[in-house]
Amino acid sequence: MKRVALVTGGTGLLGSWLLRGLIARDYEKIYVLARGTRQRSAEDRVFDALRSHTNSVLIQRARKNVEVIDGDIRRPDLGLSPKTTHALLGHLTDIFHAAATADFRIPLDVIRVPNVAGSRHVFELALFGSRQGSVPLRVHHVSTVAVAGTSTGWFEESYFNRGQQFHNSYEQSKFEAEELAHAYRKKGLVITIYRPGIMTGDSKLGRTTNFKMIYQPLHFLAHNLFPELPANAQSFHSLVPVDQVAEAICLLSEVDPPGNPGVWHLLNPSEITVGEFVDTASRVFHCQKPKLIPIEQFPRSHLTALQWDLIEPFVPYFNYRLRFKAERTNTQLRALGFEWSCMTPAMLEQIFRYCVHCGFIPSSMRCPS
Amino acid sequence: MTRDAATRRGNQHAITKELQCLLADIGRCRPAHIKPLSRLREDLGIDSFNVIEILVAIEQRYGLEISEDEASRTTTFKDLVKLITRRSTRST
Repeated sequence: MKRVALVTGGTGLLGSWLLRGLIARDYEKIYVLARGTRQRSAEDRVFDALRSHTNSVLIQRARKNVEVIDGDIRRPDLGLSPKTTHALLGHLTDIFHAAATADFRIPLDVIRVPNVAGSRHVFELALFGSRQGSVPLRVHHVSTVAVAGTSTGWFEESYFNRGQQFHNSYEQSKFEAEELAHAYRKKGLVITIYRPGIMTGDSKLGRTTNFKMIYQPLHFLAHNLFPELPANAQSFHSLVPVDQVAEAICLLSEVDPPGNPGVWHLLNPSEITVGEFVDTASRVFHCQKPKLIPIEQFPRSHLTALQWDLIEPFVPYFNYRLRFKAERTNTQLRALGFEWSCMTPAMLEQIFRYCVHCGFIPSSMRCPS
Repeated sequence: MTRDAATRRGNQHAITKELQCLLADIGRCRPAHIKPLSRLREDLGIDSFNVIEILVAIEQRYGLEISEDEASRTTTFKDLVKLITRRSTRST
């Protein structure tokens, strides 16, 4: 069967790596939904993102089978005209919904627009398409393990609503988007859910275009803004390089749609501790290593109000206790010939060094500490 | 010009230079682009997260504690300089 894909979030970090993975496969046509800006067209933005990590052979291929559509997930029907929608839906086989805003500091009502309403618009269009089109349509929804929120113990692929609360608006918005995915499944839409762990730059060079989330703590560590951190050195995290997440999604999208729950956990079995994260940062950025004190023992008076404002969104992750199961996903990935790269200190260093390489963190400070 | 005024002016010059370096390091903007009336977010392109980092760095460097109210009223480079000179004068 000829496969035709639509990708949302093609100018974003994961979306552009996902696009690269799809170009390398046998898709007859790949549509990419993107927004143009005053300065740059949607097409330029998609190809600029692609060129940042893709060789010229694949770029040439992309010029032939990738078509960029100017649209916006925040608008009903993705902002597409009825004519474009009709032409698109007739032969789409896969929708990869990777567009989302990933930021811990955005108010809930603001982040809901891209993450929840945006997902609704994608699912609505897909449902319409799956009823109108002549070929079966599958939606691949990129979620996050952070939907687990304040859950404790182990969180399995089959778990979803466990009565958890959320540490921030991002977690809540992604939970609500997944809730929508479940609702649209009940309406008959085939949706596979992918929950990656904490995403980093790529596994080879650490390249990234998005310096939010994990990169923000790196920034304040590099600038020595915290002599003490409310953090538990023994907390574990699974860091997943973006190229590997994209490859895993591409591979899993080709296996038969899994039954209930239809959820994959994209997690690297080789985890790192918060202590290793901080050690590596101080080594790479030549910054002071803050004293790590678990949040339960951390005196609130040790930080100023502004320091708390800065660090508060990250405190739950510095003291993380929740663990995720991913055996079912990793068994399937191994069967497909995929192995996660071991997150060694050297690899972590490489990922961090990219921050200096691209100027996110200065190689030498103008202002001596 | 009195000696006090000259000292204040010298201090202000030193503070301005140091702040330009901080903005360049943390906010990733060019010192040459920083003018007194430059707005941190709109003109210099420093995002809100980095603005808080800059204020925390100022707290550490000058031994101040900046309230959230003061932080929200600091929008230009000149506001930053004034914040430090005012608080330094008060504490001397």
